Amino acid sequence: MITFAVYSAAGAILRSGVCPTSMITLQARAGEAVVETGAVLDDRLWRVDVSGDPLIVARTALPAPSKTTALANGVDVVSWSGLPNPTLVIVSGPAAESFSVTDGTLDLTFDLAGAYTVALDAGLNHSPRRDVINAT
Amino acid sequence: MRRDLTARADARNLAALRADADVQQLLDASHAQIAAWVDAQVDAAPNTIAGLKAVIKRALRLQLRLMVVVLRRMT
Repeated sequence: MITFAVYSAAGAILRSGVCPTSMITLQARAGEAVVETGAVLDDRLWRVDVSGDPLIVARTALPAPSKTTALANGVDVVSWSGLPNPTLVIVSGPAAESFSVTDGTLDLTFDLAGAYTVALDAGLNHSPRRDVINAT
Repeated sequence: MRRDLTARADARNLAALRADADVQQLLDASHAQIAAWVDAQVDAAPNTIAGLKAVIKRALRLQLRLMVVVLRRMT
């Protein structure tokens, strides 16, 4: 048996698993490729560097927020700094918005109490991140 | 960049409903407690048709407000 990862042309891991060694090439469909790995991989944490021979590399972690609780007064700020450019932000909860951050810093304020989920996606080189901010 | 998040209208309605003392009492109550609450409201009403109508209208308005908020969140 062998562990493998199937990846896209860009290097995103589409699925990972275990199969008989003789069947590894059968795991990839058209437009996909397969590589042997040392373990079953979490696609949120790993990608395939396709610039040369396929190489499994870790996706860089995105920065954590300055805090996970805030006052719902429209003034108290929760910040993320050092974000890659661009980073897609999807907010869900009492407010629902999606937008891109291009200056590396995200400051959020909240005008209504509740639990806000802030999802960050900066592309394949970085692990997607999800934080829950409780505004009170 | 700074983003001042503005809550959706239905989230505001829901928050307002949750802040309503009657709704809070209902949300925290068991079915038996809700039945007892309705009985108490009816018993406390003046013994006239108008009094009973007022109780029924109040209960229906409360129920409709809850339904509208739930439907808006589902659609």
